[in-house]
Amino acid sequence: MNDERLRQILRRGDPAGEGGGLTPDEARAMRRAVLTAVPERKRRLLPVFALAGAAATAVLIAVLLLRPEPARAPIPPPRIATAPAPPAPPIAQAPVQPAPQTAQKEEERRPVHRRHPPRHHRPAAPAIHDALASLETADTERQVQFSAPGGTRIIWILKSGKDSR
Amino acid sequence: MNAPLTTSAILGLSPQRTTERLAGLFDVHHQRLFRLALRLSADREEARDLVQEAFLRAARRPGAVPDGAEEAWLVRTLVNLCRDRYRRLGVRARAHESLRRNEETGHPEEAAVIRTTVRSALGRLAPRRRAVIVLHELDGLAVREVARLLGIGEVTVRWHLMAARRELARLLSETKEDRR
Repeated sequence: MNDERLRQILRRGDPAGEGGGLTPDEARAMRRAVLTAVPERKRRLLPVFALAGAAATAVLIAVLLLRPEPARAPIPPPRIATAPAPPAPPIAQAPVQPAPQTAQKEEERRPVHRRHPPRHHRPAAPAIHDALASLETADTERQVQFSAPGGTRIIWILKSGKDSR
Repeated sequence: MNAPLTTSAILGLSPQRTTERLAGLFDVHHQRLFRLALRLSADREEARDLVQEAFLRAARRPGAVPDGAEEAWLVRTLVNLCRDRYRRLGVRARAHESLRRNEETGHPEEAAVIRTTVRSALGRLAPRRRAVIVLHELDGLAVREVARLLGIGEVTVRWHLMAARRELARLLSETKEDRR
């Protein structure tokens, strides 16, 4: 089949040959549908924007609700003593004569030999908060104890009329 | 309905007057597009849907229709719509089935038989190839014009023409032998 023969067959069997073309009614209806598509598009944009805003708000709320919390240090498990604590070492007593009753109690709470406590236990109190721990009166010597700001325990032993340590 | 509007007259319209521009495009091109759609599609209903969809695309995106090349844009859109439908609905298989049904029932008029045969054979071509042969052989456009409308090179148009002629000749010969 040569090209000319093929062309003849195609033209004889042209699908648009038999009364091809839109009827006036079809054309009018299609024209109306096409031309009304332009304003419809504008009207359609409103719900689209509304939906987009609602979706954005929902996403924002979800993000805020589901946001991962900042990492916290794990809470250590409670320490339960399983063995009896060793007995506390005896408190060193100053080699002085016994003090009055109130001063003696104060003496027991603050050991004399605690010279370098950790830095984080520094008291926020004034420099000398326990100025006079004990004042012993004796015939020959007196003792004054107080804590320095660093926690150093200072003990003054005053001897009457003689040298002091 | 068919006002004496030309494409150049439409171009004179302000871009803001989208509706008027669209109306002008429709009045100038709808019949020609419909004839093309009839040749590219399986039936009249489908052709009408294709033309309407092509104009609706122009209405939804008026900025996409280039000034001075509206006809080519519409033709390309129509061919692309045909191609989409061809892929989606398997028009090739449907056309073949339609041909077989018509042959089985036997149409009394020879012209109708030929028309059905040609439509079926065209329907079995790939959409772009079908558009090329339709525009060239049935619309009578030159190769250069077909290339301009479809946005492809002239060499490609010639290649599609050659392949389409060969394929159509084979299909029509097969149909003729089947009828004997």
